[in-house]
Amino acid sequence: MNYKQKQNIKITGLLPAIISVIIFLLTSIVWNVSTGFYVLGSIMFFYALMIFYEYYRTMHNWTLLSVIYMIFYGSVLISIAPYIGLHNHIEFTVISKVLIAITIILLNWLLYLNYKKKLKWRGIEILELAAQNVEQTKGSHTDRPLPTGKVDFSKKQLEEFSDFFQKNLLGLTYVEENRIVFMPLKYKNEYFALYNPNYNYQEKTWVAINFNGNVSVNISKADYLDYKEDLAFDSLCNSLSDVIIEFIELFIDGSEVRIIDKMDNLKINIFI
Amino acid sequence: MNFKKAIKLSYYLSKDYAEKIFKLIVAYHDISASEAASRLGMHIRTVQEFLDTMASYDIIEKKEVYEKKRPYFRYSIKKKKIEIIIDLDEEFSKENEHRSEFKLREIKNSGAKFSIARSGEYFSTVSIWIGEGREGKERKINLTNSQGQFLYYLPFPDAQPLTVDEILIKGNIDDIHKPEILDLINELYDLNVIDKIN
Repeated sequence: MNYKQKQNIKITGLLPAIISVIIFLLTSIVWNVSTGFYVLGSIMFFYALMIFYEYYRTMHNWTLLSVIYMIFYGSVLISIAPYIGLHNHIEFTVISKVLIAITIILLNWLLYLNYKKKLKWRGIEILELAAQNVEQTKGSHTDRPLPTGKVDFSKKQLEEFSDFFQKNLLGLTYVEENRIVFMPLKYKNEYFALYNPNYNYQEKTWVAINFNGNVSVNISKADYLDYKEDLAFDSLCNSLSDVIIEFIELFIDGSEVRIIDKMDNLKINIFI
Repeated sequence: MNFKKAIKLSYYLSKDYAEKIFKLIVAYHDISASEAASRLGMHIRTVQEFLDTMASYDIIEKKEVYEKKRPYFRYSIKKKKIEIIIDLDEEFSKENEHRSEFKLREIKNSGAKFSIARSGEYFSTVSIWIGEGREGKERKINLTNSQGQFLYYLPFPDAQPLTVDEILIKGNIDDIHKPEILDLINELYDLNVIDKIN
């Protein structure tokens, strides 16, 4: 498929793993491998806490599985930590063996879910859908939102769709005094959006619908530059607005599956 | 009275000798510039200029008289109440009408930064970077609600341009705010943010 967006694989998603390994190596060198395992196990518990916050924010069920996996993984590391390095080999206790077995099962489950795109943030798919049929033009980007029209959704419908939007990792939503902001979130951008207290979503890509039905769209420069071509910005904003409105209509009709199908049909790599 | 005339009158009335000349001209039935100048110890040209200006505003009456066939002017008070009335509406509304007969949209790569107000439905400020490198300066304009709302609905650089009235309707902005919006348009046009298309 000829994608409109650059298909670059970013390493941002591996950052937590890279940081963990560095800390593990440093503590193992400075103290000993056993301490390294204790520290690494503690880091996994910390990650579990962070991922739990993601679950709390999105209510995405499979995220809870990641939390459980992290807890088990951390427990494995801590359970074997006292037995490392004593006789130049690792002794596994019964508890360790049980924990390892459960961890391996959870890991495989998570890999399968990842393959099925159940753990993927879908911002890139939304932006790809928006770009379809948009013509090219030079220098049309502007750093401000575009009012794209009026819709007739009730506040309750918008709130319910907001829950769906987050629960299926389409992105994050921000409920303001008189509107709801739907921010499609790309895979690997979630760390900044979830854990940075100074994260300014107003500068990112979003579609906002106020409770009077007015729709506004903003596309950040970073997301615009992620397209391979200079797309007509006005059309792109209108198209993004149409995508979200169509999703809401499908949601109200009870066709949530079709929303997911539309994104799955793009067949975008799970690591993008 | 238009603004320019009001400025000129105010300028003369603010002179430190204005009160003395008026005191004299009210007291005398009529007086010549040389008589007034000698009485007040001022230069005749200063007094003459002041009296002529007041005559042009119809505050003082200027009459040509002859003495031994030599003509000169005598001045007498005509209006004992001086009012400066400027009808700002009349002054600027017509001008605004002429100033809004064009279509607008944002200029490509304007570089302007628009900050969204808390309610999210309009902009609170627009910042433009003027100059280059270290010499550059940020010009930040705080917007009124209606100006912010207007800019929110300003067409994008690649969109069809719209007239001021069309944008006002689109943004549901009251017509009474048009003059302040036109003022902003002119400013942003000068700053290369907005494109006017006739």
